[in-house]
Amino acid sequence: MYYSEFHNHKWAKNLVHARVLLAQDDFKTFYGGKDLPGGDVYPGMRLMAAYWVSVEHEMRMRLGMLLQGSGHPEWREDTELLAQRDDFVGRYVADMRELIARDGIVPPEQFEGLAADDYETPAGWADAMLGWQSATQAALDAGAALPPSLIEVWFGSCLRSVLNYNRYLIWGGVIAAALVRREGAAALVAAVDRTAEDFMWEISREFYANVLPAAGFEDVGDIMELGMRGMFSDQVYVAGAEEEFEGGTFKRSILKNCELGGIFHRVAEWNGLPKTALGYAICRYCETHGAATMLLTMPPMYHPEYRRVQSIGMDDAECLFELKLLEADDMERLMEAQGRVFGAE
Amino acid sequence: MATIQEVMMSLPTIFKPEKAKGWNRVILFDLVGEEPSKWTLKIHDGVATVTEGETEPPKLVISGNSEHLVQMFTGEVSPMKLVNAKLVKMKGPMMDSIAFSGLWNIPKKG
Repeated sequence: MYYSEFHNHKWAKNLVHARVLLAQDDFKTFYGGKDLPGGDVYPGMRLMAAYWVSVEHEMRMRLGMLLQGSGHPEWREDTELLAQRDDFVGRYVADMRELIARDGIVPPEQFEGLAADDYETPAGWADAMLGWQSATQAALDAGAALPPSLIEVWFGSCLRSVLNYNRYLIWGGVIAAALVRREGAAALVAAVDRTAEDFMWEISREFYANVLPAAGFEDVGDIMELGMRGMFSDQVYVAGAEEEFEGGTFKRSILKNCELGGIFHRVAEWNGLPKTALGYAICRYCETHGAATMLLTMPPMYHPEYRRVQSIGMDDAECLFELKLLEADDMERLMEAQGRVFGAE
Repeated sequence: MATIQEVMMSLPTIFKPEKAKGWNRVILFDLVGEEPSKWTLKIHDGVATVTEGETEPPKLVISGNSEHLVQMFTGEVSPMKLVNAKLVKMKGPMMDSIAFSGLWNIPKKG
């Protein structure tokens, strides 16, 4: 295995679980998900497919931001970097092939067809996903078994997204490594700092105004479910203890693994760099993404303060994020954040 | 515990118009539980009015047991906790759902 199974291949664990549920004819849980012992969650096909297509969009945007911040948009066509990307993506595909064979997730030829094809996000992905959702819900409502072709469509969507998500993620790692090798560590920090705030709001627009509504996630309950359970598609998450204090609440989130950190660790090592040398290029964006999400989604009776304490990418220690919710009359904050994402009404 | 009618009719008095500038919405409460009923809340030009029944097409639908809505507006349980627990559901644009909770002078309880 080239990449860490713990950090980079939780998709396999989830898809294996999906096969187990199918063997039990438990189509409802296959689609809708369930809590697992030990605090883990099987998110179900509805959430996993939407989650993974969302992070495909996110990694594509992160790559674009990093190239823009670096001042080297031409590196997108740099033949040395493209060759390295293809090599490292090939290693990820090899890992997937190994896991698919080991765990019987899909027939090998089904995966080979995907991997050999262009696994870029299809133009009509949203309409297709809405169609699969409708067909699946209709079968569940009727108490019928899901047709095998529909089942395989869900597996295919997840696997295609995992391929594409990691392709853009690896490409971003390759660009980050090139910046450090060619211009030094400070150039990477500067590139990220130049674009972190733009990313903060662009990714919120992409998620909340575009991708999630297109995937059928528009209501607050749906989006909260996607936020709270969808992340288990690729993450091992632990909600830390919640402490109340005079005038507010303090929450900690712990991420035991990180798809991004695992990839960037390997890309750094394969470039002869220290394991955490590229971490800032993921963790700072994660921090701003999280901060924008809090500004946008926390109810106006609170003022949110959000920060990264430590991270897998930068510290090689589990990710720890802190959210402080101060009791406040903070409608202006919410309206400003909404205006930035959705525009003034 | 207050009745749902008392709570609904109190909404115009606990409404914070300064927090709803330009926020004109029709919101339907579609309630089951102890006091099944429907209520239409209209917020327009800084004024909130409530009528029983579904009187206009809503942009946001808030559903759940009437007793949970009473708990929400009397400050016994925070809206976030009720929504997280899926005891109160909000169907409509996410941003309207989040903004909605900031429009009210809800009493704080221990």
